Amino acid sequence: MADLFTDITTYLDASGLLDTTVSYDMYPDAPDYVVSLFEYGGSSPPQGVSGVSRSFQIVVRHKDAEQAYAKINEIYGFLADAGSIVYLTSDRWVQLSLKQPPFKIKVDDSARIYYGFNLVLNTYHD
Amino acid sequence: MARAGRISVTVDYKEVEQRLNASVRRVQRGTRKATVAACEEIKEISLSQVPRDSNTLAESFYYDIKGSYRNFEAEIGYGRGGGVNPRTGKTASEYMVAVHEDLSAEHPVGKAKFLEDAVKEYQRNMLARWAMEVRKEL
Repeated sequence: MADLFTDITTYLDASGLLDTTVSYDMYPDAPDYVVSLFEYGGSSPPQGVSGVSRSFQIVVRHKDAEQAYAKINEIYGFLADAGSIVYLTSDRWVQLSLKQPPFKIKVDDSARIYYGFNLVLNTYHD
Repeated sequence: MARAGRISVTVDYKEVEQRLNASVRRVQRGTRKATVAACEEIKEISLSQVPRDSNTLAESFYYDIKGSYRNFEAEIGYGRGGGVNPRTGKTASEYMVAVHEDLSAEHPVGKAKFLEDAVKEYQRNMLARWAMEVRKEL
């Protein structure tokens, strides 16, 4: 079983949503257009319950704000329609919870715009 | 041989009602105190995590408690007060989302998700904390 970053990427890519570089836990200097996945503070379940809750952020960076917004909304809409239980791969299912609709995170010094949203995946511990 | 008889019970509903109302008021008071305690605890955790390039963002922390009787709602956030960051000339409300959500940024002090993580940390023991605060009033 691949790590969760790879499984999310595989799932989105299988639906044709990823048409550019994908980065994990960082933004590359180039290209300007990139889809980035970050993981941040998760939590363990109560004692005796298996699984973990893992928090992710998906971000689209683009020079063109409209294109960044359109792409992040495309990814968000796809996940919103996927239901709460999602098979990312044949080996891994997750319970998916979107935390909020896409929002603008920042504009960097190169005038690239970042739109993203947060989500929580309940899954088993790798 | 058993004898037929009558038992007479007098219930003073007024007194029962008074006692119930007093208990409800104590629970309400405890709930309000628990809400304040929750905000204070989240504040303390969050302020230990908020980036401090200047103190502008930290100083913009606020919480409001609304409601009465059985329902209290707390709003916790940053961006109030209109303080201006001396380095950027921006108010906290103009840049707080970027600081909170930019997971790639490196901060000499503090980190991203300084409010979300504080709430999560508090939530782990939330029920026990609330029960403790309410119980103090009973």
